[in-house]
Amino acid sequence: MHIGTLTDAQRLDFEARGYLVLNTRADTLACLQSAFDRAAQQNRLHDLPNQDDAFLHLAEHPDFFPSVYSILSDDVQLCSITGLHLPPASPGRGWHREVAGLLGVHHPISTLCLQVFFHLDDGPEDEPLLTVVPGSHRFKSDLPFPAITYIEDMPHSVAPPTKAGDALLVHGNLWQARRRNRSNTSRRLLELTYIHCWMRQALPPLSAAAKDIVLASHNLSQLFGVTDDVARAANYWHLQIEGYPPSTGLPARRFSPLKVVGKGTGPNT
Amino acid sequence: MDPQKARAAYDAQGYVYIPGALAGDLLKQVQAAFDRAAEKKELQDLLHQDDLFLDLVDHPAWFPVVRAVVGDDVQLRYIRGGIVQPNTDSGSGWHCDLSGLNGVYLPDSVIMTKLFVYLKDVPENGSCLALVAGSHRYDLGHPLPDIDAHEAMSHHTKMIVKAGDAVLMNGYTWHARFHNRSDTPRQVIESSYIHTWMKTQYQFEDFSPHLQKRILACHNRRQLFGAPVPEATNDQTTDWQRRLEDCPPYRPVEVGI
Repeated sequence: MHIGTLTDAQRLDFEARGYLVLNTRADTLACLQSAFDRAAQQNRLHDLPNQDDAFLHLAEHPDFFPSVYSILSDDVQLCSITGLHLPPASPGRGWHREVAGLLGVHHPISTLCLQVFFHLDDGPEDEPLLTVVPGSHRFKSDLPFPAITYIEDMPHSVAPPTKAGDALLVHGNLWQARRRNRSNTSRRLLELTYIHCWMRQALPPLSAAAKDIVLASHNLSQLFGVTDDVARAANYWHLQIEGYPPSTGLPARRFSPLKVVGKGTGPNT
Repeated sequence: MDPQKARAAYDAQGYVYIPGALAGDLLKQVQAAFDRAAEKKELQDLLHQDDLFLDLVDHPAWFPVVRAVVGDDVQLRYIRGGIVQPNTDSGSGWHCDLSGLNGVYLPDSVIMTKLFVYLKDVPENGSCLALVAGSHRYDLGHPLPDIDAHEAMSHHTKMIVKAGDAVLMNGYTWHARFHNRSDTPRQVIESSYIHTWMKTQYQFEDFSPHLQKRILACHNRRQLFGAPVPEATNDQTTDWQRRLEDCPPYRPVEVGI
């Protein structure tokens, strides 16, 4: 069993609550903020990978990516990356589960998807935007949300405090919502959704320049699902990130080794 | 075969047997088309060999069962043909296709299901598919026993089938293909069904214009092949939300303002 680079405390926290808050170094923040503003000005927050190299490299940010791949496993890939610009009084988004539409999976003990909400602004301490129900990633999929009117009415919900540069990692099956921006300042968020390499991505087609950057790195190439290696493309079920300790993801459990037995050549009598 | 009963059998055993799925003239036509594809060494690319093979992906003899098992977001991963020559040590050992897949609790999930449609009889000493009923419920990490021969696997079931029969199998079920000690080749069409939120082995734009046209003509085939939703419909459904034609479209639930 391998769990990558999460500390024991972080692993327990994530397993128990379904989310983690990670602080990131300050040196990339200013660059991301200005790249975000340029993309917002051009109305391209849905097309971030083609707007600035910073958004490509953000996918493997050294302060949160090691945790992401530890949680999802070596076969991690990026599903999408988008920007959210929320001026004062912007409406929220109701309680939901990101993986609710994905049929066929027993979600309470699976980990199909992990969202990273990268905060570009400090907000008032009493007005965090994102709110979750800790531990709800283990709830049965058919458990209905309570009939509430306001997002804030959800029983047992918490709004983890965050500041600029913080990354909030959220399990795809966790009950989550975004509250109305009640502060008097705009809030900027980057939302990165990570999945497994055998799941469909929802990224915009990459420009030639973006593709060149991605192809120069094994890990970015895997994360963005771009390769010029035909054999690697055909083997899309079994991709592996390089340069990190191996991880089979969370929940930590034993997996059957890929093994074939009984292939002896005795006659079938 | 009643899809719900078939689903119950599949849930209990990890596979379901569909006798006589193809019969009569259709079976003969498929056999002939298969032989032509084999002659051209194009069994891996059945879809471009004959229109008949596209019609197999949603054939009424098994597609309702596939749908009952996989769900309304079913998608095709691939369809291809295979031949195992007679009197050869050509078996595959006991294995589980999905072992090593991270992120999913497989004993309670249906991620991938395989359909085998047999075009020739497989006798008792033939290249039989064999399965361990119920093994799709084994916990992750349940070890395969150390055995030397296919036959040594305890509690296995050997599928002795007739031409036209089909078997639908959970990709997490322990299974093996026995050596072919018979005088008949094993001829089978193998399809793999997954969910629309998963990648397939096909890129829609790689299909011939003729095949694309036939796929685009029908909602369910568009979904099965991950074809783009027609722009004219102004449908904003994502790959994670696609559903078959006669079921309610997926509407995300969001509570609170």
